[in-house]
Amino acid sequence: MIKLVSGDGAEFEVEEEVAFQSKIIKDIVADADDVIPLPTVSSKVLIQVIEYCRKHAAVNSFPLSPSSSAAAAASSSSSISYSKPVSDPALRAWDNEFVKLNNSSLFDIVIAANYLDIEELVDLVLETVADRIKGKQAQEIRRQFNIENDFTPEEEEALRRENSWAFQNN
Amino acid sequence: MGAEVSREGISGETGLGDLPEGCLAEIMLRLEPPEICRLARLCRTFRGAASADLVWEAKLPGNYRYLLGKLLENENSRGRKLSKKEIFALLCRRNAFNGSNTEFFLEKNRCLICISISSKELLITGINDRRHWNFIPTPESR
Repeated sequence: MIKLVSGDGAEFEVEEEVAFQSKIIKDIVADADDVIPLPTVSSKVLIQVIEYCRKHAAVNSFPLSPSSSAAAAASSSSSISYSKPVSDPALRAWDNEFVKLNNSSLFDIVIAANYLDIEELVDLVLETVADRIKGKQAQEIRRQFNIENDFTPEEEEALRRENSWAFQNN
Repeated sequence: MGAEVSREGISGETGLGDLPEGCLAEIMLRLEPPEICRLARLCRTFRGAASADLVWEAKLPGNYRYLLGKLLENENSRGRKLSKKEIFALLCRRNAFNGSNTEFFLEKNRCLICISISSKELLITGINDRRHWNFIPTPESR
């Protein structure tokens, strides 16, 4: 067992194969301790990350679950497409449920996953964020992601000119 | 930039701008060029991420150097090194090659090369025989 300690001091004991979904933790454990402090990760986020790792560690050790063929049809219309596809359809369906979170929670997770080097989780979240941006107008994206316009009017005008080619027809 | 800082921020919530630069670039890679340009106009953080060569290089066709060479044959080669985004924008224009009746351009959403060939460039048997063929101008024609 490996003990993970969140930034707010909560301790989580997890099996090696769960913790090793994170390449960073794998490297740390290889040459040091079994107690790993993660000062920048809150317990709320760490619980979610561990949940993801637990699921993926379980599926990765039994790659084809019996229910996977039944779930194949159900999840084939999934909106999520991976750069490195997660092949098990049941796992993909589970991932789709996992990312049904508000933007701020997704960002917390991807910052943690990026820090812990859990590539599949980073991919999953960024794909989800990209899907939430696609097809939206600037004002809508600003509102949805709470982005403040920090340009001067001159800069805005320059940006409009610089990018106008992207909004014209060929 | 980290999660710690943003949690103590005014809104108390982590925002898109709090993501590490690499993550922002990864999001851009998953978007179409017009969407990347739209993001560039939202705020300074995005403007930076949306102009990274790393992002645009992935959007350029594999033979972009060759195509750029074709383009710069006609124009005076500029002294300044073009960014990958500028190269992409150049290739999106309708660029004449092999004389003025053939053009190529980059389709900016799917990043595919398109070629537009004038009917006058086509080799068609009997094209000059008025009994068989006629040129009918249409408003949509270029």
